[in-house]
Amino acid sequence: MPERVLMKGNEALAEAAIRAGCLHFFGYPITPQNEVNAYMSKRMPKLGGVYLQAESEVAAINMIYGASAAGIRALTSSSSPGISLKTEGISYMCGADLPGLILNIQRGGPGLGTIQPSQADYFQSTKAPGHGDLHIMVFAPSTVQEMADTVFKAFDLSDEYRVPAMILIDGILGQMMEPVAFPDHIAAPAAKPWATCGTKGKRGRNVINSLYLVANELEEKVRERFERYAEIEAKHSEAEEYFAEDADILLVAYGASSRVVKNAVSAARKQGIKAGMLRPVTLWPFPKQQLMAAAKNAKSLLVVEMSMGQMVEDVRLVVKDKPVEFFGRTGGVIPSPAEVLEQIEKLCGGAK
Amino acid sequence: MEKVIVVTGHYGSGKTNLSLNLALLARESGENVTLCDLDIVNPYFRTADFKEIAREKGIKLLASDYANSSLDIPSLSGGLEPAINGGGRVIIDVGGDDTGAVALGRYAESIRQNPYTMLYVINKYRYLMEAPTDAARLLAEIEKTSRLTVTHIANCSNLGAETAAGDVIKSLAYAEEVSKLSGKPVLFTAVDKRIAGELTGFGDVFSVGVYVKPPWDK
Repeated sequence: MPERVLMKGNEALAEAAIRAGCLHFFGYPITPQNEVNAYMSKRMPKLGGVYLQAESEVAAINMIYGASAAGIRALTSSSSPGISLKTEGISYMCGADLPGLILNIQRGGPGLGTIQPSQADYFQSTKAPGHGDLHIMVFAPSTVQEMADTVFKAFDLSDEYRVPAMILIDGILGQMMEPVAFPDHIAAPAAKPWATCGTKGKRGRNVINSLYLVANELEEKVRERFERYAEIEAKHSEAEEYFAEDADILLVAYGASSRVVKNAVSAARKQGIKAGMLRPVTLWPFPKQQLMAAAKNAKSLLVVEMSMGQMVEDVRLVVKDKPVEFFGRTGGVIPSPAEVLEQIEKLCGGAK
Repeated sequence: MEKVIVVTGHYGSGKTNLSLNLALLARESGENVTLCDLDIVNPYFRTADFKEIAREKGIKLLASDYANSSLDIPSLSGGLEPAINGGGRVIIDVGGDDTGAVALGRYAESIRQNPYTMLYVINKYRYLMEAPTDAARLLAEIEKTSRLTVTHIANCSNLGAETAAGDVIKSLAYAEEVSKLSGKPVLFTAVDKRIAGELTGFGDVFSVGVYVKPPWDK
């Protein structure tokens, strides 16, 4: 096993991107994701890569568009308000079938909000990361090790399907330190015969574009793209179970919330309450089949988020025949395991 | 250690946890203790998080009025200068790297007028610091930026909550190597009190509580 080192979540994301062959980073500072920029600014010049602090988030996402069009693996990173600025560029990337990785280290919102951790960008990431008929892949790791591992996976799937990918975490996962080991062997990125990197006089020209002059042609293109989305949904929906099998009460949480819920579930089990958890690993595609299977024997569900309740809507779309309750803290406040345990006890009619 | 203790080191090396432990130890022996959060870099996981425990133990905590608010600006507390010259125990938790040491330079003149101990905290397991030469180079950069002299090395090598005694033992040779390269003696190896017992006979071990941890483990 490779040597483990201690890293901040944000640093691990940046280092994993470099190891995944991404030598082009375009960003703009915002707390709590600044370590990504700081790390890239130190490392990229030593590796012969590009670190560019753009004049704005809008510029940075369009630099990713350009790099990606040229067939290059590129990364941009921001936190909630900055991601809002990137949505136009994300839509253009989707419209032009460009891969690329976007990190969202969420903070409290709306508006400038706070610099504390939040999960209130679930709707934005999974439902409308830009205008138009589109999806991006959204991954929600919950440990520093998983964050690093997800970077490789996200880049690879993004290249394979020509769909942008986002890693959606929050300030606390970005800022905390945990041991991490990087893989020894890294697969080479997929070939990109569509890239606009010069014909060398040997092939016809490639065109990267999201503008259509004829409505029927765009409809056809969007339909083709949705077939790819369906394939991603069928093959790459992912979730992790924690004591879910015999759970009377099934909690559903992702990212940092799932760390809180894990401790609450363990505490509930000690009291004899059969609690369990399903942790969506991909948020789009949402792991519908896994949730349905995990919820089969549960009497009720409790969704915990650092928001006023967003993913809970997707849970209710899947689980229609059981009560689906919600508990959340928002604005940058992290729920405590004790608070979640209290909710579990309430739903079970008190400690057993 | 002298009355004024300055804690510097690599970003994420364990300065904040060590500073808090030093403050608690000094307070237990009845000293008048001021703990100062001089971090101008980090928005999360900083000394200002320990307001409660400081109040409970009677430690004076100095932090920017804006620490842990959303006003993410590098402001400093006005109380440090008088504390340094006040004759009591002062522990200064400096922000990481030479960047964090910029703020320390502001107080260099006052600190130099008092006897001081300046610790350089090292962690073998911090990424990009695994080579002793990297740790020694950063030490020199911090001295240059802060215009102060490191007196000792504090070995705080750890892998977070998963640290085993064997990990700490492996770090001893690393600490010696950094010491040899920099010419600074190793004052102690700080070890989580849950595993410190396993390190008996391994030199100067400072058994510490772990206070810096994710919110769900509190």
